[in-house]
Order: sequence, then C-alpha cells, then structure tokens
Amino acid sequence: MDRLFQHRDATYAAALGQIERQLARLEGRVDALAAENAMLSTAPGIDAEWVLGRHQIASSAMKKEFANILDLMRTMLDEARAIHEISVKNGK
Amino acid sequence: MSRVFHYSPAIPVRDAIGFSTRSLYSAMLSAGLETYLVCDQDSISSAPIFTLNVEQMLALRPGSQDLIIFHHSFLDQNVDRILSLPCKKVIVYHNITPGHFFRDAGLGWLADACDEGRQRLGSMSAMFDRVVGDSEFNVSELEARGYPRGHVIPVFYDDLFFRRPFDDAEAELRSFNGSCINMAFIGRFVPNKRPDNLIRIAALVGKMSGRKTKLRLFGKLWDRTYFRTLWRLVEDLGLEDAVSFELNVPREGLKSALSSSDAFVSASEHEGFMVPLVEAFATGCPVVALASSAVVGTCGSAGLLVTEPDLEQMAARIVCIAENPDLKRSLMRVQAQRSEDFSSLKTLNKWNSLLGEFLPTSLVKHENRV
Repeated sequence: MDRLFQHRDATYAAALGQIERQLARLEGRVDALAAENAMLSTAPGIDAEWVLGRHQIASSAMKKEFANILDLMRTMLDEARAIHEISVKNGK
Repeated sequence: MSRVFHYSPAIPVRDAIGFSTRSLYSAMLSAGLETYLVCDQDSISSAPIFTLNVEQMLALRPGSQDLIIFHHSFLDQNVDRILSLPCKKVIVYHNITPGHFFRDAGLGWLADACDEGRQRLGSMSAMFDRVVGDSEFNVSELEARGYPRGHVIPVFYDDLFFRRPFDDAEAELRSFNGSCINMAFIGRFVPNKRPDNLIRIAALVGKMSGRKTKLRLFGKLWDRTYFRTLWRLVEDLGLEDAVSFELNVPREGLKSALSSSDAFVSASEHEGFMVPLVEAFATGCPVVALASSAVVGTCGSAGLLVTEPDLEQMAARIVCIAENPDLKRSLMRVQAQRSEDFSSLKTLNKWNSLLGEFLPTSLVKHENRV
C-alpha cells in the first residue's frame, strides 16, 4: 500500500512539474509573439498575408501545446480519483 | 541558372553544423534551385545520400554564375582547391577552437591542427563575396583577422522537434525523477567544454542541497585517454552513482533528458554558438552556464550566466533553481521567448536577405518577413 501511494505521489509530482514547464514555455512564446506584434506595428508596409500566416502557425502550435497540458491534467485527475477510491476502500 | 554548392568537410547526420547545412540545402531544393551538398571523400559515408565529394563537384565545373557556401570550422585540406574556383563564395564561420585547450590536455595533434586552421583564416580574408558567422563572437573573430564586417546568421536547429510536446505524456512522466536534482549537458567530451568542471559541480550541488544528484553527460567520444581522466575524476569524487556518460543518444533521448532535468549546465570556456543551449530553451530546461565566448550572445537575456569560472557559484544557482519554483518558472519563460529568435523561419529569412542578389528565386514566400 505504501509503495502504491509513493508511486502515485511521484506521478503527481511529475505531472505538476511538466504542467509548470509547459505553461512557462507557453508564456514565453506568447511574450515572443507580443514582442513581434509590437515590432510589426511600427514597421512600414505590413504584409497582411504574412501576418496571417504567422498567426496561423502560432495558433496551431499553441493548440498542440495546450493539448499536452490537458492530457497531463487528465492523468492527474485519474490518479487523484484512483487514490480516492483506494482510500475509501481502505476506510471500509 | 546558377547552382548552389553547400560545402563542409563533413556533413554528419547527427551533428549541429550538419543539420544546419542540410536545412539550408533543403530550403533551396524546395525553392526549386539546383543545389548540391558537397563534402570530403573521407567523410562521404557519414553524409546524406546524394552528397557529392569534392572531385565530383569540380567535375561539374562551377562557374562565375554559381555560388559556394563554404562552412568552416576546422583545418581543411580542400580549402585551396575550392577557393580557387571562379564562382561566388560565402564563408560561414562556425569557429575553430584555439589549440591551447587541447594541448593542455595532452592532445597535441588536435591542438596543432586547430592552430594551423586558425592561422590560415587570415590568408583567406579577401576570398569571399559575403562573410557569415553564426554568432557575433565568430563575426568579430573574423573581423580581427582582416575580414570585412560579416553578417550574423545563427545555425538552424530543429525547432519543430524540440518545441513539440511529447506525444506520449505517460512516457514523459516516467522519465522524471523527482527525488534527485537532475542536471544535463550535451556536447562532445573535449577539454574546452570542461566536462571535468561539470563533474565537480555535481559534487558541490550534492553537498549544498543535501539531496541526491544526477548529472547526465550526453556526447561523443573524441579521445579515450581524455575520457579516462574524466571517469577517474568521477571515481575520485565518489560519484559513480551520480554521474553518467551517455554516448550517441538519439535526439528523442536528448529531448526527454532536457525536459525532465532541473538544469542544463555548461562550464564550457569556448563555443562558437552552442546549439544545445537553444534546445534547452525550447524544451523548457533552465540553463546555468559560464558566460564565455559565444554563450553570452546565444543566451541573450535568457539563462542564468556566471561571469567567473566559480564552480561554487554555479552549483549554488542550480540548487536555487531546483528549490525555487518561481525562479525556475521565470527562467523557463524568458528562455522560451529567446528560443523564438532562432526559429527556422527567422533564420531562413536572414539567409534570404543575404543571398537575394545571388539567387534567381526567393527562399521564402513573402520577402518582407521580419
């Protein structure tokens, strides 16, 4: 039982660490986009097609990154649910 | 129509300069240009399929309308033959490590070759139509040897791969070892990169934190004698369980290590660019590095740089990162932003601007990209 809880605890800590890592990466990429937008706003002769292309690339990349965070959150939920079930059974 | 030859003495598949050379070549192929990879006959077996050797390139009789992109990072036996061709030439300087780093470690043959390569740099200064360095550090070095002011264009790195999250979240979780302070380094095991100091830092991190440490050194073996001295140091410090040397690991393994480490640590004293820094930025691995050579320019405002080779200071910063989630988060955020400066799109735009007048077609769809 102790080993099982230790394993669940490690999984939980790892999932938290990865979510944190990915959120920070996402924040950094948004910062880069904001900096690029600021640069574009002062650039002469903006190419609308290019801006559109860049935004499409950025949005699809971010969707992928969000998808992974959601996966990790689902893993955490499953873990929490399983731990809860075990503790309920143990209580009975 | 002009042809473009990408020459490097060697174009190994798993190598930063090889990857960058192939990336520009592929972009030119995609743009419909007639273009070739060329390397020395001795290295042809490790180069991509369809790579020409120098003799095959010469048989194509490169002329005044053609362009050679000449990658330079070591003493090269083909220099004279290539530079005497009547075509346009662009040098891409990746840096040659000064010989003293190797001589001090007993690698006299390598030291002599490096020094001769550096000496010959000056005599080539008037031979090129354009000068490129992959860092400000490299461009300045060429300038000091009589070259005209060059353009800084970073090497291509595999941004799509290193930025992409793992497809298998469970596998990613399994690679995580939360009870340890995990550190990683990627680079050849050569004296200028100071893997010996990384081992000493691992010992200090263990003492300072009171926690288990794990240092994974990923790289290629260059000299067995030097490698044995590193292993002896590990034994002397009693770090057999804490330090591992991992040779020729595929890039999936490198990415997994970076994304599960508390820090990427570099004590390197001489670098021309240092691609693993950018890979660490992209995967979300905090960087602690000695502020040397091109490391400073590659990091920009990202990473935690230590100005003096003070191992205790470096170890203290690693412990700080491992124990301070806010610091770790803000470092990862700034690093992710910095990694965007090296995206393939931006690097290709820089090449497009530089080579525009030599090429009959644009390498990018919209020419006024940033």
